[in-house]
Amino acid sequence: MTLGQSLFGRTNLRFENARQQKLIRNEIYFPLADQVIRTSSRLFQMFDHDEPIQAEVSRRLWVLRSSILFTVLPFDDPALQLQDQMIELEKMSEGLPEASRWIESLKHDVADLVRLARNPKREWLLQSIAEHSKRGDEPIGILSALSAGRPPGWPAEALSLLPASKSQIVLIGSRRQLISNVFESVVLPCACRNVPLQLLFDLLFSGRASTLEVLLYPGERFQIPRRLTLPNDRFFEGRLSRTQIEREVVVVPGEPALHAVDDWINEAFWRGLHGAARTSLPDQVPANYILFCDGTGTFLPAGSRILTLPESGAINSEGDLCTVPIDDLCEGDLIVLRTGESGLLLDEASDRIMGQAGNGSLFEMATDWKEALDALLVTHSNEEVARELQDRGAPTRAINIHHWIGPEVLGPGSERVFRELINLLAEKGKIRKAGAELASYVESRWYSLQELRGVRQKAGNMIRHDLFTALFSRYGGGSRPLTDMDSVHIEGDTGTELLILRVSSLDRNIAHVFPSRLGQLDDLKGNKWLG
Amino acid sequence: MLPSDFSRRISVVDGSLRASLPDWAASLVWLGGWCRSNRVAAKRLIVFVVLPAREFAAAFLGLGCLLAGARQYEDSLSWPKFKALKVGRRVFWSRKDGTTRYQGSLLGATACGGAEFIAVKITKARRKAEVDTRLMINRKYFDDYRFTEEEPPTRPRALSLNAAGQSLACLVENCNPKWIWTDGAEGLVVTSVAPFEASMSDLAISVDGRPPIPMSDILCSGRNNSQCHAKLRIDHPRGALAGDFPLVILDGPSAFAIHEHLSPLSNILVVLDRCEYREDIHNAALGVRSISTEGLTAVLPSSMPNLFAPSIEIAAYLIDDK
Repeated sequence: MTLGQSLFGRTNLRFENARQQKLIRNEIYFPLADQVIRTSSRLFQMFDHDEPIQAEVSRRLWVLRSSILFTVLPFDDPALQLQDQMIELEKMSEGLPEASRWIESLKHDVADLVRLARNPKREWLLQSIAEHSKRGDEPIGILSALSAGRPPGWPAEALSLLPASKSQIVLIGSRRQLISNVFESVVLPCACRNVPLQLLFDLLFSGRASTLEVLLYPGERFQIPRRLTLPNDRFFEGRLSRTQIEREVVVVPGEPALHAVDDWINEAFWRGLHGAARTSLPDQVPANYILFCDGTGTFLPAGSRILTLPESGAINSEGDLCTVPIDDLCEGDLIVLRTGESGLLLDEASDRIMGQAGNGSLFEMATDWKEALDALLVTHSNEEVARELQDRGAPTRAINIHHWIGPEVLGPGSERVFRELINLLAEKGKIRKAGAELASYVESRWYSLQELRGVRQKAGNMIRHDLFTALFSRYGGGSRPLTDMDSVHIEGDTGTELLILRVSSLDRNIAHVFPSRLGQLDDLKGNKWLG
Repeated sequence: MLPSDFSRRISVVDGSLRASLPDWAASLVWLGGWCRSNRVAAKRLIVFVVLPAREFAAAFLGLGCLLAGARQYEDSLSWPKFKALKVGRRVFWSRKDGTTRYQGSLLGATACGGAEFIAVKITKARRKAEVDTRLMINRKYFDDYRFTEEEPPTRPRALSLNAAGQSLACLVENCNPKWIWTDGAEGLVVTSVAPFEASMSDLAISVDGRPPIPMSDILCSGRNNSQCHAKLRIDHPRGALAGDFPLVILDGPSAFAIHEHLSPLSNILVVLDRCEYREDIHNAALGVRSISTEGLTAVLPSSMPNLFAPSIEIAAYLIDDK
């Protein structure tokens, strides 16, 4: 007997799918699309992407081209606005005489497409849906999250524009949607070069579908991203059978120049939204940018954790509130954010608890050694410090040294590592103590650190409790659906206003910003990059 | 290790549906058992397993860990218990490998040169010359022996009992009934506790057609911060993680992040899904491989399945425990 659609049944299916997953590249002969790809690529190469006007022309060019390549709507569908897009592009590029010949060519191609109206990808898709329906198969999944933000060619009402019922197709607009389903077949409508990488990884490698059908025009090149695999060992090598998702692969020789615009847009999109640099300046901190579905966005410290709510909105216990690392956030997740003062909530609650206990200086007491570590790192790298600790029998990673300096991590979790770290700082002359005085210093700091950890945990529990009370009274057991944006006021000791926001996309590449930007909510409505 | 047909004898009951144990789950049960069984003096085993889906993986690995722990269980006396026995009490012992068996009576505890000893008078031995001699057991070498209050079976009797045990159609009944009531857990699972527990709520395990037992019950699990009796401890990555365990299962990247805070004596099994196996963890795996002990593969039992379920990726490294 096979297992059902329970969590275990779905997990079992994923293993089955991963074992025999098929990836089919469907190359659809369509010279007009090929011409659009070539002409747009040619134009893109002519532009200086650092010059604002030419960068804007490049962006519009990508949107137009992607509207054609991504969509499964007829080319004359008013929602696509292909002609309008072309007119705007032509206007903007008037000052670029060397591009006029190619703009003219593109204009003809777009006019031909609109005149033709018939979209070969759409025809393929409709036929496939009909065949699935005849067989009574499960609904087909269609990947619609083809880029960060609103993907070109996929207007909000895309589902209603397809002549198929909700029981026949499921649009996969976020990784969260993907995670809660297992499909027999998922259609990827294009080469997926702008699909958020985590989502593409999940789709390709996590057994989410038995068959993946990629729809490609000539010139579109679908490439399976490289996945890291475990280093070989001496025990299991030769006993493991690796899965091969490419059973039906048509090798398409690619021309990198044809996809340069797609690669450029991935970075340009985020730069266009948050404008932050990828390299660090003094006093800047590493951060990830989160774009929310309501058209706002914010930076949060890289490596930090954030509170999430269940997708269903059913909040029945404090266990339904999960803190997850930013890296693990998915498109579609609901997060809880305190704008402008991210992270301070815990500090404030901790201060209150310490104040009530008459222990207001605990934080300073527990962390005063950080200054000495900071001083050591002027002359030593994180790697060198980690190596010295390793030599003292207290192994740790270089990244931990970096974390101990920052405010997010209080210090080493192991007493042995902490002891050796302080001894090292003393040996290097950064802490001027020795003998019994040093031993007593280590003892007292470790005790304070543990005490502070206890306070932080208590503060976290207090916040969680107050937040749960507020959320439960608002949403009950899922009686009121969670929207893309909501706010909730927390009563009690915590007493603050929190926002509940749905994640649209996450910039996984680290940007560097001044701390004042952390948690500041940017209003991006009307931003050209969001379409 | 586990009986070769264990996967055929276990079925999974998911709500109202029953199915044989899927091969991926069987591979994980085997792996959990392998990681628990293989403990090498002054070494530790670091194992990574990468899967298409991580749900239920820690539970099946934990089940394997328990089965292996139960099979390895030896009902012997600990030093404090041994020391507390009344003078004159009859005891039995053998070398750890089962050779050189003795019977004797307890003479009492004593200290000599800063070391603790227990004296026993040998009343029965293979070599007659040893009978009526006094043996001083140094605490330091206590673990080299297996002391019991119950008379161990003779070798032929042990073989027949073993054969009878194997013919029993129930995996769990193979366990020494005392094992489950003995203090000490076989492993610690570091995971997101609430989702881990919720995922198992509709799942049960049936062995050889017996009435299904909820997965959470068969794991005999308990929170690490409570004093409840449990054979598998569960804790979240931000927990205190106190205690020494033969095996620690780190379920997911957040759990992996705390690996440096674990006892250096535990074997470690890291469970990740394919999307979670990222650069930082890959670098850590490369780091472990670079310090892994060469030429010690023969130390570990070679009885491995020839092939694992497709889509399971495993790498194991033996390193010094310092």
